Amino acid sequence: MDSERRSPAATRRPGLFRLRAKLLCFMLCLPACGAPLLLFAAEVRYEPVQIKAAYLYNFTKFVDWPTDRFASAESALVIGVSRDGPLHQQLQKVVRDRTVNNRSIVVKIIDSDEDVRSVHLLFVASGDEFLVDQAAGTHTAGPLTVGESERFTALGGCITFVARSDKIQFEINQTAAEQAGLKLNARLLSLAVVVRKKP
Amino acid sequence: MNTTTAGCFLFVSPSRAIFVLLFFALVSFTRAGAQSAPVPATSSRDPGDLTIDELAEARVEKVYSASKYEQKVTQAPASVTIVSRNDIEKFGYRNLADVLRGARGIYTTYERNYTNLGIRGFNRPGDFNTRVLLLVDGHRMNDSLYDSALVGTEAILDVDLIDRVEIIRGPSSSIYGNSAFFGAFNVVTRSAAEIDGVEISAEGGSFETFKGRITFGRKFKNGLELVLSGTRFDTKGQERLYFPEFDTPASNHGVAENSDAEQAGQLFGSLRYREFTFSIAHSRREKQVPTASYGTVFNDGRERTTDRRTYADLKYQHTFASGAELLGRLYYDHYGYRANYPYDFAGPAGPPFIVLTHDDHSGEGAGGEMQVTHLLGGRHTLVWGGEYRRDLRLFQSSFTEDPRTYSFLDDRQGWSSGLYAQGELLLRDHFRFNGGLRYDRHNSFGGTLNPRLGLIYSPQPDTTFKLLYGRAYRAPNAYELYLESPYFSKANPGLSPEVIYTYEVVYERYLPKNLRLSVSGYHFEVKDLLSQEFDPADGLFVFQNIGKVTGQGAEIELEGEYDRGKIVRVSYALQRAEDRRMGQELNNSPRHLAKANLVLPLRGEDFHAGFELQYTSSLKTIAGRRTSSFLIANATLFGRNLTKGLDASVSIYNLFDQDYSYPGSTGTRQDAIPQDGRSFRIKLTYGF
Repeated sequence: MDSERRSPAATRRPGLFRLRAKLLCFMLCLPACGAPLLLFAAEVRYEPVQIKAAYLYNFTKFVDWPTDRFASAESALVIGVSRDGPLHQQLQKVVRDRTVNNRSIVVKIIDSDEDVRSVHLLFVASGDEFLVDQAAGTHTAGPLTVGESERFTALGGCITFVARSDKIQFEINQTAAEQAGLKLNARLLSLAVVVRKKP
Repeated sequence: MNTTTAGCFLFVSPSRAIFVLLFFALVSFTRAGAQSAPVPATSSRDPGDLTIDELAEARVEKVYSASKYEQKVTQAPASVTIVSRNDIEKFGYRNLADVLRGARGIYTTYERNYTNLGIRGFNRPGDFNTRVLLLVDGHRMNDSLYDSALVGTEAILDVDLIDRVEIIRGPSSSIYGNSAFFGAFNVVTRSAAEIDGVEISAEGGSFETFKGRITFGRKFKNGLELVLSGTRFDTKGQERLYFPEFDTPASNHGVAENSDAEQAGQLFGSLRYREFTFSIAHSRREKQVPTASYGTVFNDGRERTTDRRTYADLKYQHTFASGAELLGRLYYDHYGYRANYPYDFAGPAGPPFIVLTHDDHSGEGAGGEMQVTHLLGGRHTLVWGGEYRRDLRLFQSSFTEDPRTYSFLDDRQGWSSGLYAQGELLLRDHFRFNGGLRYDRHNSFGGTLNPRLGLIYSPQPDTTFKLLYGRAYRAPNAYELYLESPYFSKANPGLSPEVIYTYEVVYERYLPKNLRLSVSGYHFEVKDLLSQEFDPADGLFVFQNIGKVTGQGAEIELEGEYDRGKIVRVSYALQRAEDRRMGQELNNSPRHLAKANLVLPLRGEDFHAGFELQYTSSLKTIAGRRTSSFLIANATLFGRNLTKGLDASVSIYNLFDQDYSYPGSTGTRQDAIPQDGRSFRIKLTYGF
């Protein structure tokens, strides 16, 4: 290249430092401006696992299992969870010293195929949806399956938790529950946001 | 040189209206919130004591998604793939490019500097991924100078900080604006609660590659969440690279020696408390370029590029008593590019006269956005919002030293703003209609309106049909508009945006045995594609909106997840893209892409073996030749908790040592660039 244009070296625009300082001040002031809004966050909020665990306990009050699912009138009701974790811990807290229809409630982590079929309520955590196939099985009596993912609903789980804004609600697949030999109370059906039933 | 007047930041009149409007919206919302806010409870009751009706009304600590709003994959008006942290660990993904390459219908090419993304058969090497939008936790990563999305080792984030990547195929300018042309990728970072402690990771591999990372994450008792992470990466690269185009005695017989080295560093921090999230990230990557691109001297060793990227992002999210959600964000971005190019200015007969030319480019921007989501009647959703972005500095220069002499210097500012609305209506129990529209205004070309329409039909919970239509745009960037190279190219400030129209059909179904099937077909038309053309009037190259490309394709994918972490996934994409202006098949576009992924549990769940097979059919180069099709196999053995807190993995990439090449760009003399053979990596991560 024979001739190059000579230009002054790039100098920082004088106004730029003030503009950046303005931006930084604006960003730092934002938390202060937002302070009044914090008043609305002062209400009680639960952890999602607490609500889900409480739901699992409550579902047992609205479901009729066939009598042959219990050895005797005093047999405990067994809730199975597909994996250990915060929900398992919360559930243990909720069922301690509580009963349903005069039965105590026992929580266990699923360990075998036999467990899957023998529990009364099975909670399927996200990622363990393959258990739904095992729970359905070939004969009619099975657990009430409760899950929390799209895949779970698609595979035919009975009750699915759905997060709506900042609340946890649930959808019911009535056909799946009937196929497992379970009868769901009308009150429970009325509280569900969606009830699916094959015509 | 042109420079726009500074004006007064944030108060330029077209966007002042938007800001004032949004401010009043915020005020009216807080008033509405005040009237219906519940009386704060004095103590929280045992959740086991709540009745089932109370449980349905109880409010939970909401986990906000980083997407525009939470949506089930099957309900989204797009074909979405989510790649999780589990996939990243089990398949030994080294960077974001490895992650994306594993997904259906996506391929990457590499010219020994930047990794280029191809989606739906479209990949223009040297265009720096301007037609895909890259987001990190919802923050736009495409820079203000080139709108480029950096996905290889030059990316902003260490792959180990990624919780998941949401791949949203298709046009989404209707909600995201510029660059969401062929797709949008949202990278969601791991939460402090999930990291829960300190992680120290070290990896070593072929080509003397080393990477070290230290990460801290914790959610404190008062609810404060903190994540801090630093990474250092270093590689010698290929010590000898042979290029037949340079095989002469004068240029070392075509061998570039010790010219492929790379160093990179990344820092990431995020602080979250209640409804505020503040994140900050910085990355710097320096790479030697061995290809002697842009006519530089071969095997000189001094051709290198350095990319620096920084951002700060403050986000506020709040849910009102009515269920409406507000999102507010303020952000700052900086992108710096430096390059050294050794040129030989000697005449044809004289001895070499090598001068090192320097490029120094810097893009700086800041802006804010606000978004409101309403739930209407429990069945419909309405999202609306606005964004204003100021390009504080668009600086491009080229110079030589001793004394410093500029051959090109351009320093200016810019701005862009957008207003959008998207509604999702649940028409009858099985039909969902999704319609969105966004109006963007850029200082460079004016306004653009981009709609998207989708009809989603779910006859049963396991089946979904989607019919989708969308228009998206890509704004001309500062490089295309203003850069001039003396005696070579001239600027063209009058450029228009590129536009794409896409029509898609998607079918998704959950099958028995925990399988998920996805089938899709699409047709797209791109017009006003920017390409650099020769102007005979003055002998200079200039960018013009004259390209026209159409494409269509079909994709199918089957995946299943099983007990003990077993995963099976196969996909096939058939695609055909045509350069309508030249009347020929588009360059760098494979007709077939097939992938298979498998994760098998070994010894209970102590170990997992991850396999990846990727087939790419031949690619047409600029010279009209074709690279041969190739099959790449990758294998990783991953062991979790070998001793307490220690994870280890061994990976082999390109297991069969396949020879393969990618097409070069207009900047390289090489028509095809050979890629690496078999390589390996060992990685140890200790957490406590």
